[in-house]
Formats: sequence, C-alpha cells, structure tokens
Amino acid sequence: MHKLTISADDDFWINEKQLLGEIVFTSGELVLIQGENGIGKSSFLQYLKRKQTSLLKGKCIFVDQSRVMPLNDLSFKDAKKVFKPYQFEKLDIYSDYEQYILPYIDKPIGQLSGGQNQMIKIMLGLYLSGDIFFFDEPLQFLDQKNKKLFLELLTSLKKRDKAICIIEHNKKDLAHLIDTCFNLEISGMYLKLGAI
Amino acid sequence: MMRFMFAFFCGYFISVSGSLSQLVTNNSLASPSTLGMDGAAVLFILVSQIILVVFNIDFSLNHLSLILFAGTSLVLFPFVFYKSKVKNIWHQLNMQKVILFGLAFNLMIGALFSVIQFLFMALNFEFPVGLWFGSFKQYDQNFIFIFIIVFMVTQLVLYRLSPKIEVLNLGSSIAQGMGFDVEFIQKFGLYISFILTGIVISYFGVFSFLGLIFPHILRSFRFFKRNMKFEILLGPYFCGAILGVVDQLCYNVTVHGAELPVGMVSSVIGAFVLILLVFKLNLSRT
Repeated sequence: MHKLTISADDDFWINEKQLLGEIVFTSGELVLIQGENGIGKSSFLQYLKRKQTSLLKGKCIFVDQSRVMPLNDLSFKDAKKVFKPYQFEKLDIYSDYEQYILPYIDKPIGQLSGGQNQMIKIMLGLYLSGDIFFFDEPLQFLDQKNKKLFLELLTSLKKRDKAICIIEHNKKDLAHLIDTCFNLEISGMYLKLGAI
Repeated sequence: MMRFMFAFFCGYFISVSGSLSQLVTNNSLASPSTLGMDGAAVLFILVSQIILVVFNIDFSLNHLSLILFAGTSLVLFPFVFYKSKVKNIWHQLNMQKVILFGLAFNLMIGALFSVIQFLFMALNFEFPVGLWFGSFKQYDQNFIFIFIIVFMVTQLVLYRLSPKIEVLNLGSSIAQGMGFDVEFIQKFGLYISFILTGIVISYFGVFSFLGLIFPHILRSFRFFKRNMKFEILLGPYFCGAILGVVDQLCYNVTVHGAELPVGMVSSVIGAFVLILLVFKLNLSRT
C-alpha cells in the first residue's frame, strides 16, 4: 500500500490554490481521480512525476496526455532499445499486448496517428513496468477495439498486484474496474483531494 | 592542415550546440542562431572591441572576448541552475516565443553591430568587420590547444549526457516520468550549447544557422535517423569534416582573389533552410 499525504508543508499549489489531501494506492487496486475540467488533475500528476522519488515508494510509471514526438525517425522498436536499461521488470503480459501494435512498430513515432501514439505510450509504460501505474485520460484517441484492449490490460495489471491510478472523465467504461474514487475539488482557499 | 583542424573543431562544436539546442527544447527550429546565442557572443566581441579602443589596450580581441564571455558564463552559472520554489518560470516557457525572441535579439545585435561599425570607422578606429561572417582565414595556431581541451571535455560530457538525451528525445514528459531531472538536463544542454557557440564566435566569427542545418543534415542519413546517441556522439565528427571541406573549397575557389567567408555561405544556405523547415512544419500540422 502506498499512502500519499499532501500537507501545507509540501507547499503544492495548483491554479493559486494550495493542495491538501490524502490518496492511497493499493496493490491490485484501481483508483480513479475525478474532478471538474481545469481543476488541476493533470497538474497533480505532473507534481507527482517531479516528486515521485520523495513522495512515493516503489517504481512509478506515468502515461500522460502529451504526445510522443521525437525529433528523429525513432520507431517504437528503436524506443524499446533506448528504454531497455531502465526496464524495472519483464511483465509476462507484455508480449501478449505488443502484437496489437505490430502493424506500426517500425513506423517513425512522429508519423503515427493520435490513437496509435496513445497505444505506443501505453506499451512503453508496460514495457518499463513498475509498482504504480498512472494514466492521464488514457482512453482519449482510442477506438473501440483499443479501448477494450486497454481495459483488459488494466484487469491483467490488477491481477499482477500493480497499483493503478487513472484520471478519466469517462467513468462508464471503467466502472467495473474502479476500487476507489478520489475527488479533487475546491474548498474555500484550498484544493482538496479526498476519497468519495 | 592547421586551418582544417580549426574548421573541424568549430564544425564539431556547432553541431553539438545545434543538436543539444533542438533536443532539450524538443523543437527542430531551435539552434544557437535562433535562440539568440550568436547575438550574445557577438555582443561580447563588440564590448571587447570598445574596451580595447577606449582604454587603448594592446591585447588580442579574441582572447578578451573569450575572457569576458567565460567570466559572464561563470557568473551566470548559479542563476541559470537556480530552482525557484516560488514560481518556476522554466516550466512556463513557450519555446516558439523563445525562438522568436532569439531571432529578434540577433537582429538587434546585427543593427547594433552596424551602428558601432559606422562609429568606429567614422572615428578611424579599427573594427573587426570580418567577424560578422565567420572565416578561418586568420587563425593563430597557438589557440589550437584551447580547442583540443574543449573538444575532449565536450566528448566526456556528451558521453555522460547521451543516455539522458536519448530519453529526452521522446519528450520531457516521458523523461520526467522516468525520474530524470528534466529541468537540469535542459538547462545544462543549453548552457553547453551557449559555451561552445561563444568559443567559436570569439575566435572565428559567426557561422549563422549552421547549428540549425547540421542536425537536419545528420537526420537525413539512415545511420543517424533512428539513433539519437549516434547523432550526438558521432554526428559532430561528420559535421566537423563537412565544415573543414567547405572551408577548403572557399579557400581554393576565390572570386578575383577574394576568399568567400564560410560564415557568409552558411548564412545564405541556413536562412533558406529555415524558411523550408518552417514551411515543412506548417504543412505537417495542416
């Protein structure tokens, strides 16, 4: 279990409001973070990214909204070679899911569509593997087939005792997988993060 | 041979500057020219020349310019790497605006250069006109040791930095997610780029847009296209050789006995390449 408490001492501000709260990441469970548009959910994730070594125990994997755009013609296959030294563990399910991106595994990442780019990011995260997986709006740009794949992937990760944290507006698709919901909301001068 | 060595080292440094500028900003239009580094280095030359003339000092312009440049860089070092806890401006920088600012700054320095040149010539003072377009015509072989030392240190730094740069190529977001101190790598990369640009310009003048062209030339070859480590570690050797060969061509092919400065050639070609790149990037977005 990874318990993260954000207090006034952490001095974490989003949109001129100080964030306070607590969130728990449990192995084998999926946590959903929800909140209004523009409240700071993605900013919270960026904060966790910068402070991951001091705030969280365990290896963290982040798959956020930004598009992967290398300057050169790097493909997913080439990117795997770059990431190999940083691989935390070889997940047995990785090769099961890699087959779905085989049609564009050699294509320069910069030339992929939005949905393909999203799948690449997810697969890179899976390749690296970790203890806690963070996904920011993972379902955007994905077609029905890839959405179904991603939901199966989440089930597989949960079975392998990985903690998962998702920021997603579309709760409907994830409803059967969510274990806990956390809400980010404005409370006076503060931004509060707490379980629903 | 010595002239070729200087051209090779300068080509190497410019290529490294260009690649690092583009990688750390994740912008293929970034370069020492478009980020204003050329302009900043020329400013030090102008200040050095004013100091030499006003105080009537008998000292090498190149050395004084480099001393001022190195001194200012050392003073700026802690400020560059300072991380403000209150408001981190670095995260809010819009790279396209930074490039526009860099280009505008270079234009401003160009105008200042012309004004100071006019004043110096009107007052019959010596002025290093040739430095605006870089050339290896006037070289002092005693300087080669400085270039060799900088070359060796650069290689060592690049060797240590290249794995992080490779990951950064996939995006600052991914690199940060993997626990890298992206802000430090970006600042350090730009700082090295600035230092190398300053050294080249202090001694040989401005080679506009070469830092922009070289990375794109490298990425047009299969060998470098899919491997950023090769671009950073091996590509500069190739670019150094290119500049050496182009300089030899300029030396051997004269116009009525006058040698065309390599910097002039790079300015013309580079500006054209910049227009093409902007056009190409615009097309890929539509």
